[in-house]
Amino acid sequence: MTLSRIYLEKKSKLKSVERELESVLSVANPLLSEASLDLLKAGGKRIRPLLTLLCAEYGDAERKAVKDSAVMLELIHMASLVHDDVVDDSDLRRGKPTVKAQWNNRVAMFTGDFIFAKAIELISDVDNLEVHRSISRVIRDLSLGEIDQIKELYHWKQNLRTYLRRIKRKTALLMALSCQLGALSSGCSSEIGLKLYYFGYYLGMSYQITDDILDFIGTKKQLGKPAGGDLRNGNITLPTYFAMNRYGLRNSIRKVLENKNPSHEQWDAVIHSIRASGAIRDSEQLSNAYLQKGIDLLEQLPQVKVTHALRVIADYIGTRNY
Amino acid sequence: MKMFDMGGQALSLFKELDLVCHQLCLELKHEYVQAVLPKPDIDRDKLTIYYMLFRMNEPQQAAGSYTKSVMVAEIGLNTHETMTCEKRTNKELLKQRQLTVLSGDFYSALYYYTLARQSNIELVKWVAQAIQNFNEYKCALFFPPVHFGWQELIHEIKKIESALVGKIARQLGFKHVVPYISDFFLIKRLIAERDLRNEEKHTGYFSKMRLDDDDQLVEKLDSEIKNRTAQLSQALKRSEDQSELFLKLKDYINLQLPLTA
Repeated sequence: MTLSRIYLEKKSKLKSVERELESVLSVANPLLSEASLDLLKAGGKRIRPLLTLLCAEYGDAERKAVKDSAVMLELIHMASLVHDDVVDDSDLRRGKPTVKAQWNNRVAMFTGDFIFAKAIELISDVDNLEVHRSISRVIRDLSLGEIDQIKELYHWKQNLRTYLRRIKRKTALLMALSCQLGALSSGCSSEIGLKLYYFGYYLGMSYQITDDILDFIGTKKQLGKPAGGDLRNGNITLPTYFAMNRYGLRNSIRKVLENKNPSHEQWDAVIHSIRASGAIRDSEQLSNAYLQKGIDLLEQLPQVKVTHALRVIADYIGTRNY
Repeated sequence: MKMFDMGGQALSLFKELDLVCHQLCLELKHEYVQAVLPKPDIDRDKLTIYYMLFRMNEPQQAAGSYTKSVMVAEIGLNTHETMTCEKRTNKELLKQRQLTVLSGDFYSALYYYTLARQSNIELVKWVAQAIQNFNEYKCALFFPPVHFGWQELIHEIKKIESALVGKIARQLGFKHVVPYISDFFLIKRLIAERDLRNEEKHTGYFSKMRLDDDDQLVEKLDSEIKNRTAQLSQALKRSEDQSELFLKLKDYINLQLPLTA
């Protein structure tokens, strides 16, 4: 089984999720509708709904709550993207103008808040308090993670724990929730739900670390921006953290981070030194360790077709290079 | 101020509200956000009216908790209301903008979080629906499909100002008080807009809209405030509604109207 095969097998269900997304975002106000639908049509991997649909196969995958959960998760992700573009001052996303670039920051606020509220309304029909407590905690932690990221910008003294907590909140929790909701909304036991939650969590940690590695080693063409963009924006990710723990590099990285206006050459030099330091290899090792924990958990789940599919997704995350 | 009967342990409404307000402040507290951004404003009138609405059917503690959660949602929307649009290069100003987005998101997440812990998912749904309407009305106000005349503009603002509180009142079965609440919060907003205009601040609704007769705005606002205040006072006086909630609201609005104007 391959990743494309998994997408192919889930094609009709993913299309149904897509249709539902289009339907809930088609509202009377033309501006709000256009802004939301443009974002939807820009596409994306839909990894979260895919995980929900897959994990639902441990229970009754045909339940309405499964599709609602998948739609809700994608809406939350979309809402956060609209607001992230204001935070990052980004004009392009997936090659298309962002809501804030096409209209303005205020419209981006209205659109993000609207989509987020739509997600909450949709899931409020689910009659399961455990589900609501889990979703609401993750959503709260997501926003706390984003605030932490701003707080920790340019703070070269931060430790590994700070970084891991940040990526947990930023990425891993939503993936964990995607898996857990698939299980709970399809009527699985809390025990299976919890195992899938942790599978998604480890997957998400590995996914974000890989993203942070790719930011250093990707080409300008692959990334759509110069390599090391995170560091240039003051965001200290795992490769930088590992590099700072190596002799001689801590001071040079610190100097650039503390410099109010470093030149392109200074940035390029420090990014080159991080790449050459072995920090990328160390980061890959940690990413793989998380992935392995996720894979180990799969062994505790019923050995059915979907377990194999989740293993394929884990392998893809471990080898992705874009 | 009237008292709520609490089984022999009556506390004045004022004291109950102080407690809710104090708990709300604690809930909103985020050390880093508050080091960068000003403390979020708590609209004491909204807090009071929400509390009155919830208190009709709920004991003190539950009414206080629901009031806090709904106020957090209001504060999330108000935080995003302060969003600026101009290009920024200064790092501190940029950070303020970033935190305006993120703290608003945090508050919006917090209402769901707290209500889920109180097992009140029905209220979560009402708030989520009201937030959608609120954002639709906002888009309609700032990017109108057709040119709004003055009265249409005022009507749109009225819808925005009571989007949440009106929805909650209707859902709780108090539709009859919605017109009074809506008028009261419209008047408050018009007064705030006039004051901002007088101080030449550009954070109000009107500074973001193109008006045909911009230079006469303060006079128009003054006149609108005066007329609407008189109309609301008359409507409260004329009403034959003798329900407990209406009488409490009537007392409260009559007390607050001269203070706000």
